[in-house]
Amino acid sequence: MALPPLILRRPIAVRFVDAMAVVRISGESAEWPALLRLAADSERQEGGLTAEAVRPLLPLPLPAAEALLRKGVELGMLSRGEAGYRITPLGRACLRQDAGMTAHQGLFRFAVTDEPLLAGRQLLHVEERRDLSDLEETSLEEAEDALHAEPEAFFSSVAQRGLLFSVLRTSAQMRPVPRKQDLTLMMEVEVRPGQDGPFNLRLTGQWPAGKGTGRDRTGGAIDVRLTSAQPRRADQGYAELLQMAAAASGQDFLSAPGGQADLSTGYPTRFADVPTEARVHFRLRVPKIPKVQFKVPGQFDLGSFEVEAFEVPITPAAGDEDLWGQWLQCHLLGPDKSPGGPARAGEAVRQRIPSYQPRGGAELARLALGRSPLGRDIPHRAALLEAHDLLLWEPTER
Amino acid sequence: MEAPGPTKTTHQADTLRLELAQAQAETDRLKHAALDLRKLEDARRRPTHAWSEAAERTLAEWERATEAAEKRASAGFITVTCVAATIRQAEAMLDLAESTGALKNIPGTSPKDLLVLRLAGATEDSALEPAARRAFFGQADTFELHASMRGAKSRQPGLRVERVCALRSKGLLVVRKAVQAYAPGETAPPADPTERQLEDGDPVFLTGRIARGHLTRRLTALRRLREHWQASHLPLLQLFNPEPRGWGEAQMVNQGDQDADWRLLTGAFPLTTTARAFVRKAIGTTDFTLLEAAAGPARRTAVLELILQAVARGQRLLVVAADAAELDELLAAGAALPGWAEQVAAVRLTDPCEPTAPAAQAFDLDRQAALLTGAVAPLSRGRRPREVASALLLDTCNLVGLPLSALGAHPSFRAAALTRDPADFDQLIALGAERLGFADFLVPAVHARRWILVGDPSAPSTDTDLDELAEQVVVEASRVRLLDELQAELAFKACVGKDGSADDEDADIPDAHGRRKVLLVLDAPIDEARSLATAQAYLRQRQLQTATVATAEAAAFEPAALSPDLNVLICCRTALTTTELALRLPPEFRLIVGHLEAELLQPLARRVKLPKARGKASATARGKPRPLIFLDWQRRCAAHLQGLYDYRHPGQEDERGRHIRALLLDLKSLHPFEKALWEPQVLLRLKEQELCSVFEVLMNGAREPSAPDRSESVHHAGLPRPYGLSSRRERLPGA
Repeated sequence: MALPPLILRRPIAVRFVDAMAVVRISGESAEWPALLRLAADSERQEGGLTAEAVRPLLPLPLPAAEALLRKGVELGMLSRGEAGYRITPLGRACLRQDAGMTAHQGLFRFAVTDEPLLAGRQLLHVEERRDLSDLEETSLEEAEDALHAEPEAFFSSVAQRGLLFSVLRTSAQMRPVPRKQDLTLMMEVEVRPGQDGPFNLRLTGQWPAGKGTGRDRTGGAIDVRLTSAQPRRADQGYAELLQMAAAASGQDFLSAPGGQADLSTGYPTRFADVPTEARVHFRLRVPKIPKVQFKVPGQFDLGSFEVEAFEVPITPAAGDEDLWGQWLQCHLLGPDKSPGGPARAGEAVRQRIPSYQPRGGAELARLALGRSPLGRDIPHRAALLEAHDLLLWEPTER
Repeated sequence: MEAPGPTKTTHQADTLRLELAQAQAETDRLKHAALDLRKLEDARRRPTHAWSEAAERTLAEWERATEAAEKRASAGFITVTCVAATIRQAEAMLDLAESTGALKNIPGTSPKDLLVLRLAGATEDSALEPAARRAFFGQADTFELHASMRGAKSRQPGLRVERVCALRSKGLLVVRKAVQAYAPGETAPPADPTERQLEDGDPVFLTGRIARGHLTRRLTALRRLREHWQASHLPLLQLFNPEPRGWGEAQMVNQGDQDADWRLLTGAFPLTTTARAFVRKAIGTTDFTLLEAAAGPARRTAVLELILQAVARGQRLLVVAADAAELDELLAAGAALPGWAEQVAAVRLTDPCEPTAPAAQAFDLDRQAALLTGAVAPLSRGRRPREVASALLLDTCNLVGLPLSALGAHPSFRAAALTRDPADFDQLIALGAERLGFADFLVPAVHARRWILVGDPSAPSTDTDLDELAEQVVVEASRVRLLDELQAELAFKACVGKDGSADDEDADIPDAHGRRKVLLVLDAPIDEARSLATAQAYLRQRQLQTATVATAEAAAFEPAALSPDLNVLICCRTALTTTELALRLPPEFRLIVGHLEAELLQPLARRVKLPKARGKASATARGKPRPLIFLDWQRRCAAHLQGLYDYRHPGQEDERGRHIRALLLDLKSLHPFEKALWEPQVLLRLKEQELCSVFEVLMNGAREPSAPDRSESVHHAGLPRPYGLSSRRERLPGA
């Protein structure tokens, strides 16, 4: 049984500011996807794209082809190298989206978040405000650092699928949009076994419908994956997070896996630590945890998360196999009082715990009568009764 | 020098916009100053362009006027007289249509379906009226032919024709009759009377929608300047400031004096020295540069050198030429230079009604786009490959040239492009700037960062559409809410015989109260119902019996139902021109009308009586000014405004004074009673907006030199003297 993905959730606040800005926005383009593909190919083969190499694709006059490439540099999709023009990360993103960038100047509304996990990706959406009639009565403020992105940084919108944008320049002053229009989105991190990052962040929530923007935005779940830029410690992984989540739910019974790497069969667990259901099904269910503080340096020690309920497969810890097997054999025997019952139950246990030697009915009964197979701390009356029943059924062995 | 500071404006966003614009302007200046670091800290050279409320007000008012003009034009039709072209002209036109491929686009057309028309007025010595030129040689290409002017004016169905090919300069049109399908066995109806008239050599009447493309383009430019302005527009906005502050001295680029530093301007001649100074200024400037030079080789060389030097610095240029031939010569001369093709990618936009010179045809946008279409077809994603190819060429070529008549061919100048960012040109070079009106200059100017104006102040300047100006005169007059009352006052005077007609020999016999019957025709350019109500209320105050006929009700009008005591019947001009109302009127009415086409006026004048003093401005010669010179008032006003402008040079004060007196007299005749004299500021502003060329505006400003204290009539200040203007201007010897 595979280990479960761990889903961590946290609401994040999004605020809006209006600013005059020069913004580059991706959009449908005829020439750029083809040109970027050519640039990517040329970079692999010749180290860069030249104006002459553009002309077989687009038979433009040479100065025009040169101007086109320079425009690509202005728009951030290309950079000029010694061997020619090279494609930038933004250019690659455009190529994936099959789009090209265009520069616009105007009054834009930016959706900004201060979420530390999204550092470097703090702009979630941008939209030009064409209708200025509803400008709120707000005072201007000096711009905060929120919009000050790295020169090469670009963002992908969480409200409009496939929209890439980058901010070239903004006015020093901005107009914050009143609080009532703030938005809460749910940020989700899914940690899968064997995955040590970078993790994907998924933002979900209802984006407010634009007023008179003309674009059809019905709202609903937004499913845009972002890759966290947060640096992480290499030795922290899925297993630690899983233990921390279990501990936070009050079920501190997953033994530390220590050096052992193979958890494919489940977590080694002490028999005495787990409830009956887990002893039978070899699965431990950890309920939903409303809030958990992850204090792992360099990891998600950046606030509280809500953890979705999950189930972990478990195996008997070393030394516990026999005890666990005896108990399980008694348990599986149940109301089956036929002579072959103990053997069948024993076989079923052996399939779950290969190292277990199935006991005969008489031995089980003796064990039940002599010493509780469950230990003193956890008397198990049902199993005793079952053992007793067995004795009644098999008097010849007495 | 005053530091630039944000000025509060009506748009909240403008503070932010101003701040960003000034930051960008400063960056531009720093980049630009890298041309010559010594000039960076020179306070005199620091531009302090400011965006002020006064400028915004002027712009807003201009925008409103243009919007109104565009709205009126959208509903209007224009009719011109035309005749069949001569056989030689027809053959030449059909050859032209064949050579340009115009006939290929309409397969199945036989020569019988084609008509070649010559528009009246388009002769060697008199050019076609601008309004007609725009309507029939512009973007619209379907018209109607009518046998009579009344039929055309009343919008009766005529013979529908479609333009196939045209030659604007000769006023020739090749049109195709609308194709009609006949059922088998059905015979074609007898030939349209219009066609017979054409065959007989009689004039017919061609009707088309009034062109409004030029107004839309102006409006788009004004809106961009007012609402979507950017850092690069600050010098243009500065022109609208009443006070010409903060221009600073122009910069010059450091370009050596050795012959090796120049491509074409070599040798030590005075001409070369001046031309070099012009090129240095044109590249170094942050706003305007003016070159006074007559069209010819010297001017062409200077402009070509500028193009080569600017392109070598990675700049993109837009060249707008008032004269298409000059543009073609420039491109042809450039193409002959060695190394041109490696440096310059040039594209020329064409005007469909004027052929490109053969030497410049290689630069034709359509031709170049056709070569590119095959390559972009797989990339064009549902858009038309031809459009994609054109857009790509316009975006990437570093020299885009277009004649003034092809202004509408650039996609960025259209209204739909307003929400997009402007097409990005480093320089706009306007050739023949003396023929470029300020409003038309703004259309390409908002897409550039620096403006180089090349013109000859002694050459004939812009040609104005007097009809359009007259129409605007009426709109301005009715905007001050006086026109309807004034017209009503004239009707009153005509009615009670105070218009001088009592002395006339053929004076009517008045009724028992000494009153005559009058038909008052209002101009009502904006709101017909309101105009009718205003005039009626005014005349009732004067104790006259009135009745009104709205245009929509003219068909149901019954003359017999009029009261015998009726004094004044009021209608609007549209009711007269588009319906048969006038023909059904009893003949005893006198007529008061502002302007009516001669073809309509003549039959009407035969039926009803014109006031005796019928619109002769020279009435003053007879001693006393006649109060009733209203006929064709707006056209006369427009003509006087044109006259005021034509005689603007020193030494022409007499002529100028004559036009001013005539204009004031016309205004006085409109104001013969208690109301304050309507000051002609509005009209003078109209003159500034419509008549001045951009070259003149920059050189002199549009301030009335005779009335320096009339600051409200200042439309734009021009470049300030002394160093603001002089440092930006060069004059080639011989100009």
